[in-house]
Amino acid sequence: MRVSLSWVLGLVLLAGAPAHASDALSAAAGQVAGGDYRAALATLDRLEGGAAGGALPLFLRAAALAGTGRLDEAALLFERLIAAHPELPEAYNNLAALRAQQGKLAEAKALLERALRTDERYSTVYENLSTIYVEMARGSYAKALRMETGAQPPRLTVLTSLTDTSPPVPLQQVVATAVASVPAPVVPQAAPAEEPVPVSLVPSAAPAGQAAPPAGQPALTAPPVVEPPASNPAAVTVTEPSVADVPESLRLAVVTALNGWAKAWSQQDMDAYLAYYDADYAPEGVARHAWEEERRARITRPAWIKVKLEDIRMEAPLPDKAVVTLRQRYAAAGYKDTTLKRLTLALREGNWVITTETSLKVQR
Amino acid sequence: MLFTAVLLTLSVGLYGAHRFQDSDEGGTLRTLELSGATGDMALYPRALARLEERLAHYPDDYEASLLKGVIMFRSGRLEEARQELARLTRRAPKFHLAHLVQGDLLLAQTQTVTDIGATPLLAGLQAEEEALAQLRAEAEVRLKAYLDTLPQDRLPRTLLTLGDEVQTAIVVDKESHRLYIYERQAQGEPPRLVRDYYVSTGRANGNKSLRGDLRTPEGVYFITRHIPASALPDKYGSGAFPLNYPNELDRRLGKTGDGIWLHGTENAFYSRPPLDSEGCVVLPNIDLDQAAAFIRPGVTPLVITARVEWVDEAGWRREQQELLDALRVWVDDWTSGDVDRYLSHYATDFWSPGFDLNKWRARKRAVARGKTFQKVELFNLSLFAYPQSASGGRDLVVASFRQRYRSNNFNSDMGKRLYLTRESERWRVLYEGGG
Repeated sequence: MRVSLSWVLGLVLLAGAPAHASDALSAAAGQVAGGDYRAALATLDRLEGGAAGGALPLFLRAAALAGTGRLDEAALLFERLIAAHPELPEAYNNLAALRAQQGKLAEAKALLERALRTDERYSTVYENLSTIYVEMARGSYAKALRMETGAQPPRLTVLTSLTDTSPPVPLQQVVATAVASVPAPVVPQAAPAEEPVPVSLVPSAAPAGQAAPPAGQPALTAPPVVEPPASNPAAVTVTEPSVADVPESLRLAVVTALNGWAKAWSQQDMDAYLAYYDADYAPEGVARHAWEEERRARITRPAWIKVKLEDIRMEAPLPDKAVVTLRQRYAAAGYKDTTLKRLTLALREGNWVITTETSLKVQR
Repeated sequence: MLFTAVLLTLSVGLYGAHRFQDSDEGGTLRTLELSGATGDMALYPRALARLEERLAHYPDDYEASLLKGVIMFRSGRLEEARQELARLTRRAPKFHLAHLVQGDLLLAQTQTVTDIGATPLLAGLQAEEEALAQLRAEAEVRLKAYLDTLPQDRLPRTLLTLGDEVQTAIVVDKESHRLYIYERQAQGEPPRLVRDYYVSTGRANGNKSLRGDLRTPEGVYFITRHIPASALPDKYGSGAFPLNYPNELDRRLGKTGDGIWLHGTENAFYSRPPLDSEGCVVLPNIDLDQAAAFIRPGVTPLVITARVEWVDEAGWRREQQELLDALRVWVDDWTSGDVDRYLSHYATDFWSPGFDLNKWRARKRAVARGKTFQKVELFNLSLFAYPQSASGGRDLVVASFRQRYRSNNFNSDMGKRLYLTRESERWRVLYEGGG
C-alpha cells in the first residue's frame, strides 16, 4: 500500500485524541494499510467513546469493512462520514470507488464530482480542463467534418486569490478542528530529521528555523508530526494570522458551516437550521420572530427537502467575517429552483453564523 | 488529472484491495457504451490481438491504429486510446474518421459518449447529417472486418485454382467492404491471403446492370491495364486499374455501362465512405499503392462478389478436382475425334462470338471431317467459381487458360476463356472464346 504510514500517524496525532486512543488508532491505520482488515476492525472496536466517532476512526472502519467485502456496511459509514465531514474528499472518493465496484457508475461519478468541489481550486481547475477538452474536441470535429469551427479562444475561470501551499485537505480539516477545540494554537515541532516538514497551518510569525511555506510541496509527503499541546507547553507561541493570508482552515470552517446549514435545512431540523443564523438575524424590514415563523412554515411543510450547495466562492475573508457567493439548488416535493446567493458569515463564539442572506438570481 | 490522481492515491492506499482504476468489475468511470455493441465486447480482445499483430508488421496501417483506438475507447482504456488517436491524426491528418473519434475521446473526459460522434457539442456544430452518418458507417464497416472471425483455414470459394503465371488474385466482398489479395502457392495448393483492405464501392446497392445505375458490378473480371495518376484527374488519386466490365456474361445479359475501375482517392481525403462511388472500387491511395505491387495489368483477376463464400480446404479441393476432371474429359473427347461425345460437353444455351449451339455443332462437325489427329494442351489454367449473386442462381465457373492446339491441318496458340455451367449433372461449356 502506497500511503505513508507516518502520514497516517500524523493524522492520528493531530486528531488530538488521548494518547492511548491514538495508539489504537495508529495501530488500526497500520493494519488497514497492511491489508489486515479483521485486525483493524477488532482494534477499532476496542476504541472507546468519543474517540471512536471521529473522522479517522470512521474512515478506517469503513476502509476495513470494504476490505473484508462488507460493502454495504462500508458504504453506510462513508455516507455518515460525508454527512459529518462534507469537506473530506477521501470519503467521497472511496465511496465512489465502492459504488463503481458495484457497477453504479452514475453514483460514482456524482461522488467524485462532489469530491472535487470540496476544494474550489480543484473544481476550478477541473472545469477549466473540461473547457479545454471541449475546445479541442470542437477542433477535432471540425477537421472530421471539414467545417470551419468559428471557434473563439476559450475563456477559463480564473482564481482570484492565492491559498497557502498547505498539505492536503483532510489534514487541515483535522487541524482546523483541533485548532477550534484546543484553545492554544499549536506550532509544529521540528519533525524527525528524515521527514520534510511542510508549511505551518496556522500562519504565524514563526521563529527562525521553523519551516516557512515551502513552494510546491507535493501532497504525499509526510505531514508535520505534532505533539499534543500538553506535552510541550513552553513551545507554544500565539500570533494573529495576518489579514493578507487566507488561511485554508478558515475557508474550510466556513464551508463546513454552510454545509451544515444546508444539511439542517434538508433534514427540516428547525433548531439546527436557526442555529446557523446570527441570534439577531432577520431580513431587512422583517422582525426576527416573523422571519422565524415563516421559515418554520416553509421548512417543515414539504414532505421532503433537498438543498445542495455548489460553487462556493469566498471573497477575501477577514479572520472573523466571510462573504460567500454560492449556488443553491433547492428541491422539495413538487418544486425546485436554483438560486445564486450571497451570504455573509461571522464568527460568534467559535461558530460561523449567517449574518446576511441575499438571493442574487433565481432560476426555476 | 494529476490532482485527481493525488486524491486517488491517497485514498486508494488505504482502500486496500479495491483499487479504483484496476478493478475489473465496472471500475472505470467513463466508458463508451455503443448501442448494440455490447455483444461485440467479447470479441474485442481477439480483435485487439489481431490489430496489434498487424501493427507489428505494418506500423503505418492507419486503419489498424484507428481501430485499436476505438476498441480501447470502448473498453474504457481512455488514456491509451487518446495516445493512439493523437499519433494517428498527426500522421494521417486527412483521416477524417480519426479526427471524429479523437473529438469523442477528448469529450469522454467529462461526459459519457454513447456512439461515435454522439455528443451535444457535435450536434451543436450542425454538421451535415450525411457526412456524420458516412463517417459512422466507415467506422462500423472497418471495425466489423476485425470483429468478424477471419475464417481461419477457409478460402474464398471463387478462387478454385490459379495459373502458374497468375501470381495473385483479388477478391472484393461488397457487403463487408473488404478487398482481399491472395497469392498463388504451389500447384494444387490453396492460395494464401497476403493483404486485406477496407474498400468503398458504388453508392447504390446491388449488382450493376445499366450505365449510370451507380452500382458496382459482381462477377469474375480481369484488370486490363494501368492508368497512372499523371494521366488522371485528382478524383482518382494515385492511379487506376480498369476492369473488363462488361465481361462476356454481362454482355450476353445485355448489361450496359463501362469505366468500372479499381482506383485511388481524391487528395483531400484519406478514405471514402463505404457506399460512395459511381460503381468503381475505391481504395485509399496508400492502400492502392501497396496493392499495385500485387497487380499485373492484363493478367490479374479481380472477382467482385456481394458476399464471399468461405469454404474449407477439403471442399475447395473437391470442387477444384471436379472442374479439372471435367476439363480433362472435355479435352479428351475433343481430341478423340468423336464429335458427338465432344459436342455433349456443350450446354443448350451455349454461345460464342458469332455462334449459338446449332451453328457451333454444324461448324465442329464440318471441321472434324478433315482431322486425322488433334492435340490440345492447356497451360496457365485458372478457375473461378462465379459469384452466386451474379450468376442468376446457376452454378457457373470461369476457366481462363492458354490453349495450344495441334492438328494435321491447323495449329494455334491462344488465350481462351470458358464459362462452364452445370446442366443435367454435368459441367458443360456455356461460353467459349478468346481470353
